[in-house]
Amino acid sequence: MIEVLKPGIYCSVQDAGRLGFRNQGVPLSGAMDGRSATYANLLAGNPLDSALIEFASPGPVFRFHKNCHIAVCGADFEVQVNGINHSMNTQISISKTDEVFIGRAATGVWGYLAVSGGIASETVLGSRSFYSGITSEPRLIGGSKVSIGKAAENREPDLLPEPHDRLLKSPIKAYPGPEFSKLTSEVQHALFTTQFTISAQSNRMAYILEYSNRLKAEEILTAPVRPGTVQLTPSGKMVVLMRDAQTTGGYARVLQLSERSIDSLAQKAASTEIIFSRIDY
Amino acid sequence: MRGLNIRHFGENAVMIDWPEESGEVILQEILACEQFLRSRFKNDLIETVISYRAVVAYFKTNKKSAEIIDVLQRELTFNSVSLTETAIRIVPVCYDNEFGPDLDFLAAQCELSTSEVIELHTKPVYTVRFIGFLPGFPYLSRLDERLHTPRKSTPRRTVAAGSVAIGGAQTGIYTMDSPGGWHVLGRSPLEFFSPQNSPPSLFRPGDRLKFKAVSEEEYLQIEKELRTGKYNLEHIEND
Repeated sequence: MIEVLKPGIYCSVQDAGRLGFRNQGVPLSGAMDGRSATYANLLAGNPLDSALIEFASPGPVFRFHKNCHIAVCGADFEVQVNGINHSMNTQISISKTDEVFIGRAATGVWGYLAVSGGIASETVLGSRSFYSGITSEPRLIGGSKVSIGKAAENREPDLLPEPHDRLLKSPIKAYPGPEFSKLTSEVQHALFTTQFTISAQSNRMAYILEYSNRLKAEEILTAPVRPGTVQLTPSGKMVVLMRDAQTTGGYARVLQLSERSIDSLAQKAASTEIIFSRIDY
Repeated sequence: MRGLNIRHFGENAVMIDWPEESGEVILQEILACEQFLRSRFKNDLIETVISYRAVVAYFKTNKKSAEIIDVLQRELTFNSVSLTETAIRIVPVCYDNEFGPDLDFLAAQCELSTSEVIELHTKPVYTVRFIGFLPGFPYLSRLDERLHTPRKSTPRRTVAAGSVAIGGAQTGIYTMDSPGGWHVLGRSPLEFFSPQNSPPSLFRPGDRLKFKAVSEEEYLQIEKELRTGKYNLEHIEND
């Protein structure tokens, strides 16, 4: 079992997402940066879609009540075990009563702590991903106790994770969205040339983009949306839907990010500037 | 099939769009289209999401969207699913001020009395077009035109679970506490979504329902009966 001593910010259990209930309006959820979550599971010797702990900066502090292996991946966090610094992106052996401290992220947003055996919190509608109104808790809080699953025989990971730097520098690739062809050519052009800035109001549901010139698009009849859908509102607000996005929405869907670019965007902190680079099907 | 637009919607998803919204005829086709997708792609299909005039099919990553689009352009065919077989379910709503904070405002906007608004809102048999916005939130068609009211310019921070509301030409039910921009007319004590239920959503597309005005006492009584498991959802058999 893992005891949460301090929850830090936005600390929750996530896995590969809640598949199969979007037609009932249930968001997909799952790790904001799926690639980093996969690497963390790989390093911990888990199936790649195992549940793990996701957090933002400043990170959480845990007390472990079980011998296990962990791996911390994602944004560039400070990691200490019993006050001694450890590297990210590597397997760390943990003994019963060890205290794991996650500090601040130098760059990036989301960190992942995978535990050998995986997190075994409640499964609701086929997933352990926390979501308000679906799981009994929306977040881990101080005093929360999280069970650990039964680990397979521990093995050294056979693949090394991709350096996290590359993730942060990778361009944000976007396909034209369903309403792209209805936009004026000026707006179409601007979407791929404007420098957008990530707003501090961003969260697991959506990242808000700030920019100087005014783009706009008419509202649409409510239609399906998904993580990575970029919406443009009549008042000029640019919104990138993220993992906890609704399943339908009424704003023009002007772009659709590639799956990898959703992971990359998730790691862009507030005030980071981005430009969308166009890809086509 | 003619008139349908079949295209990519990001990676591993295909969107089928109908050219224009034309009411429940589309819903019948959309439900038939979903059946086609499920039987044609079986285990490669994760799920489908529908809205007024679109179906999005989400596929597992091993399946190439371009190939699926090819298959659909050649093979997609369906008739329509009949909607009239389902019983009409009764949704009790208390339209008192405490439960419907925007009822007076909406009545003034529509130049109607509050009792006329309640009468117009409880009269039609609504059809659930699709579920979206919140888990279990039903978008209903057939709202009386006299009640169409543009959404609020500033959304309310919290709309209570069970709130029955109007936004533009649409009416629906907030299934959980949430921020919301629709005008709240009243509240129903029913539980519209629970992850513990199977299926979790009380309604699904194609279901039919009617609102019934109840007093605060009746509202509280139903709430109590629901808690003790004694309440049975009222319905009218199909005529």
